[in-house]
Amino acid sequence: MARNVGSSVSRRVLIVDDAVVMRMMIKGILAKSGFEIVGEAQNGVEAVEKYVELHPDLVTMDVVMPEMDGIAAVRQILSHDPAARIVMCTSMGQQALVVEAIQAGAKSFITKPFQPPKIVETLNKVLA
Amino acid sequence: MPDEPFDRAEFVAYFRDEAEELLHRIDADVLRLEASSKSGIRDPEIVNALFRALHTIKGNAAMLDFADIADLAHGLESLCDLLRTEQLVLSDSCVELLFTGKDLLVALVASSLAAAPPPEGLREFLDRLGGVAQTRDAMETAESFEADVARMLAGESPAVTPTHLPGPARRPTVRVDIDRLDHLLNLVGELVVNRTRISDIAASLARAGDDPAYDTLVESAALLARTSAEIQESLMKVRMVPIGRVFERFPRIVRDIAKARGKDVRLHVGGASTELDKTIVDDIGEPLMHLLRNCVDHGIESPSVREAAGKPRTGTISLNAYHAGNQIVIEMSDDGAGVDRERVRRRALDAGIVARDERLSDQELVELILRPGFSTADAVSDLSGRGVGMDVVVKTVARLKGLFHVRSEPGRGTYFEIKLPLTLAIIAALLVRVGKELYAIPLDAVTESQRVETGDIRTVRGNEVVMLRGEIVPLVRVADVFGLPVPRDPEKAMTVIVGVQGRHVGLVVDAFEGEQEIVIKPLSDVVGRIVGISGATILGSGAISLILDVHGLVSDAYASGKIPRAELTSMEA
Repeated sequence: MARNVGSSVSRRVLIVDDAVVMRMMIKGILAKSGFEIVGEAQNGVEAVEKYVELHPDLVTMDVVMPEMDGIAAVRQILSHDPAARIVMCTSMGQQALVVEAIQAGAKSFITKPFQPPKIVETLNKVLA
Repeated sequence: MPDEPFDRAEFVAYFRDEAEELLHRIDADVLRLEASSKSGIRDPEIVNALFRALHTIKGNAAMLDFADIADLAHGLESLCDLLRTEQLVLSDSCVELLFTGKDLLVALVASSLAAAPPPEGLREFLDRLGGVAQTRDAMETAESFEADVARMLAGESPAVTPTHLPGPARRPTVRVDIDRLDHLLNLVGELVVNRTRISDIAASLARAGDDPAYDTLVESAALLARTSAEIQESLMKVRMVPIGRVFERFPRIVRDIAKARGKDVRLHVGGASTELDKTIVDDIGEPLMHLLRNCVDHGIESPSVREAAGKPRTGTISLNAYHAGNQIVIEMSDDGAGVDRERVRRRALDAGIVARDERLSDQELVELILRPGFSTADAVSDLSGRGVGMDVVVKTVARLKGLFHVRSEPGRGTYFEIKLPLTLAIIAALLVRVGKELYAIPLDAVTESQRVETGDIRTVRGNEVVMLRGEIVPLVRVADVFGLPVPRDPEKAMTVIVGVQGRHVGLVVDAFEGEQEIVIKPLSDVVGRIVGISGATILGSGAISLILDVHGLVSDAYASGKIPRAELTSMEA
């Protein structure tokens, strides 16, 4: 497995978002900052499946998605792996959902639009 | 690891592709939404899909610094959010906002590669949207919110509650799913029906026997009756919403249409706090809007014409609502030119609605504008009508068990009046028997019931009619309508005279079975629409009774060809 050389922490990430462009952008930012993107999912159902399959170190989770939303996915992933580290990616004006996700067990959140350093900082903090 | 800024340009083309694909879906969804608002069949998934698509565009645009796209998508998303949480009723103007917004989004996305200026009208549209949906929210408190969540994550603060969030001021209210209220209303309806029965039984027991316990039973029954009446009344009130919800969007619409037509129009709105059943409020918006458009389009004259006629340049439309007994009356009037009788007659002739030699009273001439197929063909405008005639208004009002009335004075203006029941769920009905079947006739449509001697029944072109105080009233034998094998009484016809819009029909039945309050249960979609039946009800005895569709039966009886007007008039003479 191609671990990032020089990094002591495993930084395998699953990116969950229903927007292709958003996944590409997050992927681009994270890849440049030494994260390894092990998988992508475009809805909550896929997210749970991919998590079970890949057991990533970290999940970035969109909230509003078809099939199953991000909060339901957080609950299911945590019921499978209580140690799962999930960071919510929400948009402005969805604080109520952030609260719900955090109460469900998400470790942190970032608000779109975010600056590249912000997401990297947030993810690193959660991994630390 | 250096935090290099990511290469924005790399993603812009992808953004555009995805946004265009989503906009195609949005377009299709808005069309479906429009269709569903017309048919009344709501599919929450349409709004949800719209919400998600707009949300995705917003998020992507914000990441790539397309502020206008993000703002617009956010505004439209907020609108969809209000719709899906049912804080906003889906209306024509909502659909129009969504269409306009979508078009603007398409233009913005198309120009996203070039540094084109924002399309015309974007700011104005955003303001308009902001008036409907809260669009610029959350920004101010985002920072403090992050701090709150950080504390929450650190376990310092037990929870950040959503009430902390910005939004419209919250009154201490509870929002309840309308289905639950409907169910409750159904139950109360049955309670009401049974209380009548218990009171009757108690009364007859008390009459028959001298056991003092019977008197106590009568008292208890009376108490039960009063309490259930109160429950019914409070529940009705729970379902009431002010009609102002519908009126709110009208000034803007009037302004837009007037502007497009080059007219000066002022709208006076009164009685906005008048309350009526939510289901009726949801359905009455469109007909009112249609009337309003007609007033602006065809009623109010252009400023110069008005001036020449000695009227103020600015035309006035008044919209008013008030309660009258168990009904709500909505009045709309304009001080325009009034209905041009000659033009209407010519058009009706062209459309084949009236015969050349048909004699019509002045009022009948005016009412021609309400007939199906009467279209304002030479005056079709982009705003008024969309090819829909006034008959749509009449039909909607009829479906809501209401009455529609129009008066018009040449040169002075036109007056529309809509009378609606406050609720459609429980009505007083006259029960009648035909053969072994019990039918319910809504009491508000009944003018009288009487025994007609067979000798008094005359026949006009094979149709039975009866003279009633100088008026010729067509008879409809309910048994024939439903094909019931019931032998005719050779001597008499028990007749219920029902009236709709001033037209009367005598419904011939076998017996009158008294009045009762009934709970209307719509026929399921499986059964579909049945001619002559508007619904069903369960009686206190447990028997099922069908509710006669008086509007349908009356308009059928008067349908062209059956009872020619000319002949009726000649008989009268």
